[in-house]
Amino acid sequence: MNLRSQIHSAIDDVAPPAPALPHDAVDFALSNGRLRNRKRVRVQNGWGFGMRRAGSLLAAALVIVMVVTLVAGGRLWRDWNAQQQSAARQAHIAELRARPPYLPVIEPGAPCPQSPLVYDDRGYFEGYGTGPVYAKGGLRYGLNSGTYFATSYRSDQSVSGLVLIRGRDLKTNQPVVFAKWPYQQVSKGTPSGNVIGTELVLGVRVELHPELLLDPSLRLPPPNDAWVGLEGFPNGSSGCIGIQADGFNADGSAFSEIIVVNYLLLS
Amino acid sequence: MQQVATRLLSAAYSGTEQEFTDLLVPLVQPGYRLACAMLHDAQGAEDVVQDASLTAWRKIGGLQDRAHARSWFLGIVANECRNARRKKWVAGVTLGLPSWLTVRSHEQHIVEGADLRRALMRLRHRDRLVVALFFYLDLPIEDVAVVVGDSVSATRGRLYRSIKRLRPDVGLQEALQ
Repeated sequence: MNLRSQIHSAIDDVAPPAPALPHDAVDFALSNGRLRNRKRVRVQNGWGFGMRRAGSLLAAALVIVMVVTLVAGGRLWRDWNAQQQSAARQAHIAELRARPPYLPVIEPGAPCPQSPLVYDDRGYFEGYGTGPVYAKGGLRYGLNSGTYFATSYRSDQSVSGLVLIRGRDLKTNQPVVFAKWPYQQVSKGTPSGNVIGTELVLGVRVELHPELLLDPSLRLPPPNDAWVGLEGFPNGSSGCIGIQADGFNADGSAFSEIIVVNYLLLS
Repeated sequence: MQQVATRLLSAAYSGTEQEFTDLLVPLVQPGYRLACAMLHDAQGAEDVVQDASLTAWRKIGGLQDRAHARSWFLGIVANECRNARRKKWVAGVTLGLPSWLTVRSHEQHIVEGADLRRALMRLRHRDRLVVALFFYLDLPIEDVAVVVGDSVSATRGRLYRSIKRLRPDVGLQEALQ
């Protein structure tokens, strides 16, 4: 074994793969150093005194008894409540899905009628759309199955409850796929519908779905309150993408919005 | 702070950031490998690469020629490694190997690796950088010189001296193979 091989072997032993590092590094840099991804292992010190250990064990035992009591007492109520919430959520999603898609068809060669780029009602999220939902493409990934964008969505304050996002290429009729954004500490859109494939994004395998849900309960405080999801356009896509956003306003009225983006213009 | 966050959000993923991302992503793994070779600490290497990425983002305007991006970024990583090494004290211990061992067991592989890493750690920062770039990142000596900031001849001399320190019993030509 020559010196080069020896050095490779010796360093490889202390250089495990770091597949998420490219993304973490970009995040860290673009956040001006605020989003460091650390995976430190905490080392716990042993207890110094037997009495302290015994007291802690007793306290832990009491806590366990209390927890068990609370769990046993509250489980029925929680299960029942969760069932009710889940059923209501599924009914809500089914209602949104039942709204027919009405994305227009654009002839090849015709200009893409891109939606206006505007600010939302709070004035700090700039995205494409006429409201109450806005979308904007971000980081771009060229992958085996097509081009993917980390897409941010924002809704006006008038929107209440879940928003269902569906999309397709307006010229080629290819469907848009959605996947969970795997990295950043942001509000995440929830991919919905059947799994229709998987893709590898910077070392992380993600499932592809035909829909994305914007869930207010998963929204982080500002300024991280824009939902982010991976939006994929298959190879051969024209780049003229129509997105249909369906939801309800706080007053109970329904809304359905068409957002048209031309991702070639975003790059 | 809120203003900064708001500005960052509204400017999120602008063209400049996308260009920076496209530039940086292929450089991160070489940077990580270099940091591992310099620090022998994977977590420390990840931190160094993230710090180097931030420095690169702040200094991206100074990069005149994208063709030199790799050397430029590796140079930043090397500087960050130097800073990281200054922050901790490292003990050097030579394990040594019995010369009569001819069959390499798994344990021996580990010991040899540890021994070589310790020998690398005893090199001065710039010497170790040259060795890491040449032997571990497999860069040609001309590219190593650009990262280190020396002439090619000076870099070659530094490499030869480092090899002699690492493997005094091995001939130069044999080591360079």
